[in-house]
Amino acid sequence: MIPLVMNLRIRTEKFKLRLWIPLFLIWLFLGLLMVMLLPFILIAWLALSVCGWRIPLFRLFLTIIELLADLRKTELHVSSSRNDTRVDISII
Amino acid sequence: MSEERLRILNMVASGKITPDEAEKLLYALNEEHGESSSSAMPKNPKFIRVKVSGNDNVDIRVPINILRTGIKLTALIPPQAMSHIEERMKEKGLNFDLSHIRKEDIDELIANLADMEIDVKSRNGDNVKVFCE
Repeated sequence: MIPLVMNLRIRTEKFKLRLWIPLFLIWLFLGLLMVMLLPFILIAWLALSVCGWRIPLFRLFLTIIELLADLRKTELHVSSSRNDTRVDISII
Repeated sequence: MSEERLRILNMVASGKITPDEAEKLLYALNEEHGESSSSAMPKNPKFIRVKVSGNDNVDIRVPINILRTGIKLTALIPPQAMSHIEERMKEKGLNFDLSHIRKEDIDELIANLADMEIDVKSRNGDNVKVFCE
């Protein structure tokens, strides 16, 4: 399943920030964009196929979805001892 | 030949045990070795970790399935482009066929990554560790 939420936490000496970013809205937006660009994508795919550069479009789309789904449980933690800053990102 | 096997064969040679008994002992020995070697098999790692410690600390954890899916993406590269890529790789001494990588090869590669550990220490005291867990 593609990641739905990204947790972002930033802590510095002066402030703390915690954000819950709904990735599902971004995917929804990208999905709509894909639908709008579909005619152009199909034309490009047809042109490449005629030139002999066959790209399995449906499989490519599924592999990209799989790649996004594999991003779940990715975590990034950065802390700096010099200025007491900490950034935590986790993709759920 | 292992010591236990040799001992069993010597016992058969000296008549202390019969060949049937020796066969049972050798079978039991094989079973025992099979269990210990399977426990020593690398487990399938789930994540790649990159840890940097020093003035700044960085800890990144990425699911290893990204590697699997990334290799699947290479199978979607058109044959004309793939042949160019393979030619360039051969020039650099990397002689393998990306288009015919099988699922078993990827699984074996990932299973063997469990033992990978890269540890780099820089002059200014930063330590970079890359490993799988």
